[in-house]
Amino acid sequence: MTDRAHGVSRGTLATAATYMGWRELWRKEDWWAIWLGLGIVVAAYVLFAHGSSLKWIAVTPAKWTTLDQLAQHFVDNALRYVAQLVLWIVIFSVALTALGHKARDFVPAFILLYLLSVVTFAIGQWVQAAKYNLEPPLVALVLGLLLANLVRLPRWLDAGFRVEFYIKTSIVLLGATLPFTLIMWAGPTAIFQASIVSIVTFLAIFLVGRRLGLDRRLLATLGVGGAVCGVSAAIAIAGAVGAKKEDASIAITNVIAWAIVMIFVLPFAAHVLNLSGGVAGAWIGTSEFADAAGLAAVQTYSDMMSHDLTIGGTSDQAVWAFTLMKVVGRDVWIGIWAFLLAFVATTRWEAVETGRKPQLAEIWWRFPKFVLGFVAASLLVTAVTHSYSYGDFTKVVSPALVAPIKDMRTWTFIFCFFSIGLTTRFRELASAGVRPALAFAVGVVINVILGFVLSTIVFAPYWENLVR
Amino acid sequence: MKSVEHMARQCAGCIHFDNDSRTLEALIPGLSSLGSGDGSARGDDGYCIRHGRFTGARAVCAAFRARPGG
Repeated sequence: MTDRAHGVSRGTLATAATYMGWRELWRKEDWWAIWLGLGIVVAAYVLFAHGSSLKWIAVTPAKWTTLDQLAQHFVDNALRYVAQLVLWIVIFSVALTALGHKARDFVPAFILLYLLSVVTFAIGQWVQAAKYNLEPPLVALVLGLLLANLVRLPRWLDAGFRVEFYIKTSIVLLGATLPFTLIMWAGPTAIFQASIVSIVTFLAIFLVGRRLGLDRRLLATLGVGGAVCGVSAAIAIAGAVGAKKEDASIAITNVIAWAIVMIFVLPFAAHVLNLSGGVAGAWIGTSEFADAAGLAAVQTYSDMMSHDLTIGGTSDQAVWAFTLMKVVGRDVWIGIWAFLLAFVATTRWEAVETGRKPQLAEIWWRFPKFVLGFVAASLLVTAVTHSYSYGDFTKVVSPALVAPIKDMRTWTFIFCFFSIGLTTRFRELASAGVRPALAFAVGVVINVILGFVLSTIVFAPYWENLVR
Repeated sequence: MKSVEHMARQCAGCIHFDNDSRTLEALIPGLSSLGSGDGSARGDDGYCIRHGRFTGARAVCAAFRARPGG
């Protein structure tokens, strides 16, 4: 039997539906991001403690001027790249197999992704790259979009293009390079700023949408998608309020369209406005919709900063401020939004056929668990390095322990940015709808302006002074 | 404490409901682009083909039909 309206067969739906419970530890990618990210951090520390380093396998293309130099680099380091590819394949295969993907699809797809990533990374290391705006995130995204939309890649390759899994692993690794004291110091400010922007953005989308006559459940899905964490938020709220499939599709189309636009607009706007690293990171963290898109934007700005010495602050500050704002300030609230909206939907809105009572436990069930890995990685590295003087940290700890973790993180960033492009097929997205698109656009404008004012004026002293 | 009978009639045991992440990613264009069916934020929510709506595995409704062998 086929449900024509929804495009799925009843046979398909008769697979075993499940409660998650403890199975979440090996059936959700958030936990696998923690296991893999913390595994890399612990391995890096064990090697460091025994006088060695992870840097052999954390190889990255070196700066180059001529193609001969680049070719020589790859000849000299071929074994290291092969070992790194094997490492990624093994750890990602274990995780994705546990998540229900097929290793036989993942492996060839990932090899393609890795080769594309090596090329992109190498382009970014060309000494003239900045002159032509060849920042790796943008190159990866554009190449990915062209491949996905002009060349019809086989659908099974998507098994290797796991945007969210790569970005969550990246964020756990990022925790290892961010001092825990900084999370404690700037976290409350990030939460306060993000809360203001999230609430105002949600209300703007919801109220404008109501004036346009749109359904409340659609607007809840659309509003939290814009205000909290993009696609993940949209699907979480769709379930919490009992939204229709079309509601989730409309919200996701709007989020993706604006998120991709913002990857290009925000870093270039911040550059034109000559915003310091911390301030730009906070603004991008407040104004982007999805973690992956936001990290692409802020990494682009970081790359711009490394080539433009007129920009104040450091590229680390940009990434740190973004992460604090987006991950600590916004993402962690998705469970609370879901609970509150489920409560309102069941007590105030018109009833729908599928009934559910909102449960407080939902706040934990929906909590983005990879954030725990991010905090744990920060705590771990801060704890094992706190006894070093600043001089020793810079001379010994940073190159042997922190830098290789950062290099592994850069790889997972590029896997993610390429995967965004490779999985964004514009022809397949649902229509954004004129009225939903209008309501969402109003929210975007308010979000960007309010985020700018809060980041560059109200809380600027915090974001300008993010230091180790 | 919920009764065994109540739990047995929740959407998780219904033929109309599916919360498999692969099915959901195939159902919603763009879900795997800047999101994922495997994320914690979704909880154990799934899709009800009977009503064309997303709902939780613990929800209940009058149209419940037990999954074969469930």
